[in-house]
Amino acid sequence: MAYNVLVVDDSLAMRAVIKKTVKASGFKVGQFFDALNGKEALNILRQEWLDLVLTDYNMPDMNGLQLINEMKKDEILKVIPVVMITTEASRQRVEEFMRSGAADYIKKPFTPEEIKNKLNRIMGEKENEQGSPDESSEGLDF
Amino acid sequence: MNKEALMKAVKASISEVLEKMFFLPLEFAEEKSPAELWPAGRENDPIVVNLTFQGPFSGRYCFIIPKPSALALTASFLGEDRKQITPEQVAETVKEIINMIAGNTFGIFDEKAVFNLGIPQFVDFKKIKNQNPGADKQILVVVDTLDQTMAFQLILNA
Repeated sequence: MAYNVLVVDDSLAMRAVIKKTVKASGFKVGQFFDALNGKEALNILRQEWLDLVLTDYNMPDMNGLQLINEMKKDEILKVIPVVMITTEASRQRVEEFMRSGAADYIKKPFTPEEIKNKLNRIMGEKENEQGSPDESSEGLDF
Repeated sequence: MNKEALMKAVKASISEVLEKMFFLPLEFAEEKSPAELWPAGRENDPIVVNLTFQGPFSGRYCFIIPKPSALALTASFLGEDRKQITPEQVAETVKEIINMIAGNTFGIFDEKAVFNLGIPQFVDFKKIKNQNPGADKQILVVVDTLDQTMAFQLILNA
């Protein structure tokens, strides 16, 4: 399965690097979408079918934490996993990310291997939570 | 604040960021002031980007890099040919470097502490060229890589 991924960062260069690294990691991406900040991300999330959000923390207008908080208020968006990609490495900040409902965080600098391990685990967990298509059709009588 | 531990954290952070995301071999060089490193005229002035920080101690982190090195780093970061790199991409990349190195430095120095990082901003080299906050108020790290020299200066508030 290939996933549609929204990359949220106010830096065009950083968005390009995140996409390049995700591709290099071998994680299966259907389509990438870009947003400059949380507000733009919410607009895209309400228009497109997305499987995963990778977001920076520190952005103008709406930061990564505010984006998660807004997504959690929305019945449809709240199930989409959000991963913080951030330089903010203090334990307190990481706990804040996780408490707010982030699926995980990736610390900059990162390698393709680190990205792949985290994303595969998150998406694997998500599929398990929802049940795979085979599992969900069990018991149905066609 | 243990200055020796902070110096170690600065060096570890520089190594990790430049090696992990820019695939750059690097060596720490002899400590020299920015004025000694780049004494030439305006056309050779390096790019300077400043980032303020606040936390258990506060100050600013300064990244000084010659333009050809900044171009080479940007090309490596984005995986593109140098000829296709725009000034905007260079600007974003050097800002991202100081952001990553600063965040990583404080994470290594004290993972329990919270430091708030400001937004990286460009500064004219002439404004910082002769600044001398004194040895006890700064950490200066000079890095040699790709036949170029760059410097990181962490200046602590009084």
